[in-house]
Amino acid sequence: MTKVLNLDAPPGITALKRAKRRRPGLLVANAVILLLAAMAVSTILTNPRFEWGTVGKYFFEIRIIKGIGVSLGMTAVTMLLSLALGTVVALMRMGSSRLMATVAAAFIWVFRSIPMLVQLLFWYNLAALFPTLSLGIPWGPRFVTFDSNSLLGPLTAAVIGLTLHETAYIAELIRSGLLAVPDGQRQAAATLGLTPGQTFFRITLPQALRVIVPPLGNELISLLKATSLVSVISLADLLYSVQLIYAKNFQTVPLLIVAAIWYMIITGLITLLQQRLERRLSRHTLIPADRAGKAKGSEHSL
Amino acid sequence: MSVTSEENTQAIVSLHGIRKSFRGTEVLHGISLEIHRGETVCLIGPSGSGKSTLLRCINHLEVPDDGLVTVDGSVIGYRLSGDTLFELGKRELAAQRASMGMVFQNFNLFPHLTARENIVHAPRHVLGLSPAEADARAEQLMARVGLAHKLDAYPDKLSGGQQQRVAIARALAMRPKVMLFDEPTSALDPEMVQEVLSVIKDLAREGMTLVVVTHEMRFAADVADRVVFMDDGRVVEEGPPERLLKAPAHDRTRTFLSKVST
Repeated sequence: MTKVLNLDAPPGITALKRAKRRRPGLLVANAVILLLAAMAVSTILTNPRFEWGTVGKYFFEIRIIKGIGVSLGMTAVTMLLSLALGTVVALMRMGSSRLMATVAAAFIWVFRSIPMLVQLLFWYNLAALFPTLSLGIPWGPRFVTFDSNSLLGPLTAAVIGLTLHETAYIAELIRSGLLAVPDGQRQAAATLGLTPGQTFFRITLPQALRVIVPPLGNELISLLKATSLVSVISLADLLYSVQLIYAKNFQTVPLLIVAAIWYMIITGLITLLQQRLERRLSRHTLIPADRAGKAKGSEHSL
Repeated sequence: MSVTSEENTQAIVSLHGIRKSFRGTEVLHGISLEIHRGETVCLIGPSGSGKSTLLRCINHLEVPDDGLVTVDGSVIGYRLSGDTLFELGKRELAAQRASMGMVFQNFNLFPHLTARENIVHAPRHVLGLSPAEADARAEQLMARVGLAHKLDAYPDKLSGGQQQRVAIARALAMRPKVMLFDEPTSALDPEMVQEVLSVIKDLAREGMTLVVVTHEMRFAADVADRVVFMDDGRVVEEGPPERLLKAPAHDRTRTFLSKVST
C-alpha cells in the first residue's frame, strides 16, 4: 500500500510542487536529427566536387533563364487549358446524358493510363501515324489540310500531351470537389430562381474550390516537374538547357544542382500562393482567434 | 392591384392528381389540394407519409410523374400553347420558381456568403435589382426577423435559429407569391424553435400564403387556417385546426395525434 496523503490538511493540495514529465527519448531523437543535418550541411559545403562556384556562375545564365521561361510558360498554358477542359469533362461525367458520361469516363481512363513520357513521344511522332491532318466531314469533303510535321512542332506536341494528361487528373479533382457540395445548396439556389449556370458559377463552384485547391496545388507542382520530360523531344526547357550546357563543359553535377535549386524555388513560390488562396477561400470558417491574428479588423470589409 | 374578397377565396396553388414514385414505389397516390390566397395550410402526418415530397412537387424540386401544379394561373414546369403543355427548359422553370419561396429543414444558407450576400444574391442576379435596392431589401428584412445586427455575419457564426431566420429573409427578398416551409424547426435546438415560429406566425398574420410541413401541433393549432393530415401518400382528412386536431373524423388521424401530443 502506498502512503495515503491527507490533501486537505495544511498546507493543502495547492502548495504541492510540480515536476515536468521527463522525455529522454525525445532528447535523443532531436540530437540524432541535428547530427544528421550537420553532416549533410558539412558535406555539401566541404566536398569540392559540388563546385558551388560553377553553380553560382551558371545560376543566372541566359540559356537557363530562357529555359525557366519555357518551363513556366508550358506549365501555365497547360494548367489553364486543363482547368477549362477538366471542368467540361467533370460536368460531362456528372451530367444527365449517359453517352456524355461514358465518353468522359473513357477519356479519363485513356489519358490517366498512358504514361506522360509515352504520350509526349507519341504526339511528337504523330506525323508517322497521320502524315497530314485535315478538318472535314467523315467520309465527306475536307475543308483544310495541314502537314503534320509543320503543325506539330515539339512545343505544340508537348502542350497537347501535357494538357490531355493533366485534364484527366483535374477532371477527377473537380468532380470530387463538386460532389463535396451538399445537394441542399443546389436546391436552395433552384428555389431562388437561379439558372443552372448561375448556380454553378456562383454557388457550387466557389464552395467546391475549397476542396479542390489543396490537391490542385499538388497537381500544379507535379505538372511543373513533368515539363522536364519534354527534354526527350529536344525542347529547351530548364532541364534540357542544363543538359545542353553540361554536354559541352562536362560540369554535370553543378548544372543539375542549378536546375534542382530553380525547381525548388518555383515550387516554394507555388506553395506560398496556394496557402494564400486557401486562406482566402476559407475566410468564412476561420475560428475567431485565427481570424484576429491573421486578418485583424477585416470582419466587415466585405 | 386591389385585393378583393373574391380574390381572397381564390386558389393560388392548385394540385391536381399528383403522383410520384421513387424507385418503383409510389409515395404520392394522386393528390389534389387547393391553397387559397393568404391562407396558411399546415401539412401534418407521420414521417414517410409524403408531405415533404408533396411540398417539393409544388415548386418542382421533385417533378411529379403525373398530375399538374398551377401557381397563380400558370402551370409549373410547362407552357400551355393551344391544347398542348410543352415541358419548360431549366431557365424557364427557374423563372417560375422565383415566385415561390422555400425554407428548408437544414436552412441551406450559402456558407461562402454573408447573411446580406445570401439575401441580395437572387434579387440582384434573378430580378435584376440594383445593389442599393437589393441592400435596402436585405436590411429591411433582417430587421424584420430581428437580426439587423447580423447582416455581415457568415452563416457559420449564427445559431441554428438565426440561420433559419436569415433563410426566411432570403426567401422573402424575392417577394414570393407563396412561401413553402419544409419542417422549418425540425433541425433546431428546442430553445430556438419559438424564435423561428414567431417569424412564421407574423407572416401568416400579414396575409402571406403559407404552406408549412410541420410536426409542431401547437403551432398548427395557433396559426393554421386549415390542417391537412396525410398518411401513406394520401390526404386522409383536412379541416380547420380546431376540428381536425380536437375531433378528427378518422381513426388514423386520431392514432397519429395521440402519438405526437404528449
